[in-house]
Amino acid sequence: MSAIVIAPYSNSAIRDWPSGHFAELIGLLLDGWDDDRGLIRVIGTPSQRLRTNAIVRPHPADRVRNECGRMPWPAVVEELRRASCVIGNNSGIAHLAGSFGVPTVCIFGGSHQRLEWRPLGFNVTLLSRSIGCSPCHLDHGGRCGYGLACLADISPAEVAEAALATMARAAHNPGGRADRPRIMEEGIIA
Amino acid sequence: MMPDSSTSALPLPEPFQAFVGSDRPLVIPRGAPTMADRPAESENVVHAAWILQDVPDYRGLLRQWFGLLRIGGRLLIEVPHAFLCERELALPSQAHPERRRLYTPATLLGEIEEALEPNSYRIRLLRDHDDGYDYGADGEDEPPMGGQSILAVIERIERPEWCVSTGEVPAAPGPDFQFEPPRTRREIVALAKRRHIVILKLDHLGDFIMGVPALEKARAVFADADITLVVGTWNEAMARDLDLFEHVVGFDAFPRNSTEEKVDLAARIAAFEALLPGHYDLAIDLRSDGDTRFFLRHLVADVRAGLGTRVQFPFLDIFLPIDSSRHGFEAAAEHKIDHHGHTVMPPGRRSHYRLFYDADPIEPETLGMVYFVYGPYVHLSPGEYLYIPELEIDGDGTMLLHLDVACDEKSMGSALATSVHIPQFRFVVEEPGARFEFRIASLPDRPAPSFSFYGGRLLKRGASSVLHQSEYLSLLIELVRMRTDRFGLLRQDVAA
Repeated sequence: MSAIVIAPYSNSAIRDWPSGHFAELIGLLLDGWDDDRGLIRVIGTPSQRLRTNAIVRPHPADRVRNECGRMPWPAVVEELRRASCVIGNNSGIAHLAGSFGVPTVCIFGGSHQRLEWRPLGFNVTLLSRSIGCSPCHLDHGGRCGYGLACLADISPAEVAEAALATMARAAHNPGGRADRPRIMEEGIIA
Repeated sequence: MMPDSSTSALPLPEPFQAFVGSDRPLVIPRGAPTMADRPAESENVVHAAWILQDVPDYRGLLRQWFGLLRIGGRLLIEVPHAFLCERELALPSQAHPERRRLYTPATLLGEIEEALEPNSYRIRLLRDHDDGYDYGADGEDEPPMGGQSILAVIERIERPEWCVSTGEVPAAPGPDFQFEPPRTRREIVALAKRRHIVILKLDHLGDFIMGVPALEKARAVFADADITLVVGTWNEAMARDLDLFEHVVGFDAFPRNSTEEKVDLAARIAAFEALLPGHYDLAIDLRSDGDTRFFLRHLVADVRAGLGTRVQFPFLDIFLPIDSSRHGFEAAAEHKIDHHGHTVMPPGRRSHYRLFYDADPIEPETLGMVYFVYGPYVHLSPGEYLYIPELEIDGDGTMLLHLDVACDEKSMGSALATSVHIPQFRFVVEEPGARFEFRIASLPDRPAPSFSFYGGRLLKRGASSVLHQSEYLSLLIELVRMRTDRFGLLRQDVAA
């Protein structure tokens, strides 16, 4: 069964997209994903389970699962390898999924420069916000005077659209993975 | 005993009785558990027995049943116990293939916490129900008898005004980025084609020789590419002799001997464009000096690469940011430390521009060892330092002061100073944040001379960690390889 894996937590709250946004994102994915039986698995550590309850609560339990603390690390890695899409922050899970060539959406906060720290991989879509205080190099969310506007202003709709587009793009690649990376189209230069 | 009907109302287990009282429970039918037609907040007691284990959306059902309760109402839940009923640790259940989940008290509680908002309820009962359970029966021939379930009672409460914190902070408008409108960037990576490559090496002889390792590397990593090398005409023969590239083109951006003619690079643009009119997938400038980097702009190329930063050369797609201080002095940082940050002890004194001691010119006083001056206790980063005290001492060169430098109270050097010799102190800081101190003292049993102390200069050695030109250029080729072959170039997602 196909699954979208969502990893809402990094090792620093300054890099975490708001949990309410993740909850809204899941609703949008359930509406927009063409696999109407696919699972959405929210992963994390046992200590993140309570927080994750708030993310999964509004959604049907047969489609959306709180997997925090339920999977040993090798199972997490295997889940990432097989995922239809992985959505995470600027953190290890996005880097790992990106390295596997799995369709990955990284919601990249403004604390660090994306050019230096973005996850690598040819199926990675990077979402970041143009904002004047970035990069701030803060390491705790509570110290941000703008309530993590660099993350909060990235809307669930934008992330859902990016995830669906990333999956659709990967579906056109041989094998559904970035085993054969895209070649830049002529003339598309940022 | 385990119920066998999908529609019959089950008897209330005895532990539930106390939570029912005189109320009439609304029994959730196992065949139609959604109860969508019942009004919200209308019931005092809702009884849902042996249902959850077989439904896909336990969160939705729990929320729905809970929503039927008035404030103070109780939801009575009974589910089969995995260890007593199924006697299994994992699905599928041999005896009950329809099971979707196995329960223990912990898993039931976990589902309740997932489904219901914090502080909208309290758990009033959670227990194993094994009344009359026959632990002696092996259950192989007949299903086990007696209680074999888990019971939970959830009371709906008035939610308090305060909330359980998520630890997140409310968002506020952030400052605009002056160079872009507020927006969400959506970017993907792509590889660049590398079939047609042009490499510029518009250098004099020595620089060309230093670039040969990078040229060899370019040939090796772009093995299948058609490569054009552009060099000064004086290097053209040598470039051909290398026999590395398909094409070698001579172009003089500046004279062979720049001292003989005035250099006018801009005047060469038209000739350059006429010489290289084709389209290239990749254009690389292998000149270290940046004065000719702008020629890249006058090539038709998908990707441009060179040394420097995008601040210096906004047209570069791939740039190797090199140490901007590499042309700087070895003493990279100099700090003036004025006298204000130092403490002066009597008989020393302070004025607005110095710390000083005035000895009696006729009969200088013997003071014992007095520390006249100490400080300023500034924190230093690791590195190699030179401290130059700005000190004037009166006398004929025979009167002495004792000077020393310490970091974290550990002496880094001491010396005697006279009117004709003021020592300097060279020392190495190993630990970050070391506390720097400079001290001026008299000598024991010797009269101290008059002096004026104005502070000092602290120099930190730097800029010695540069690379060789050959290494810079080879690293640039490696970076181009990685970006075009492995890591990709970050691009706006045109589908967004």
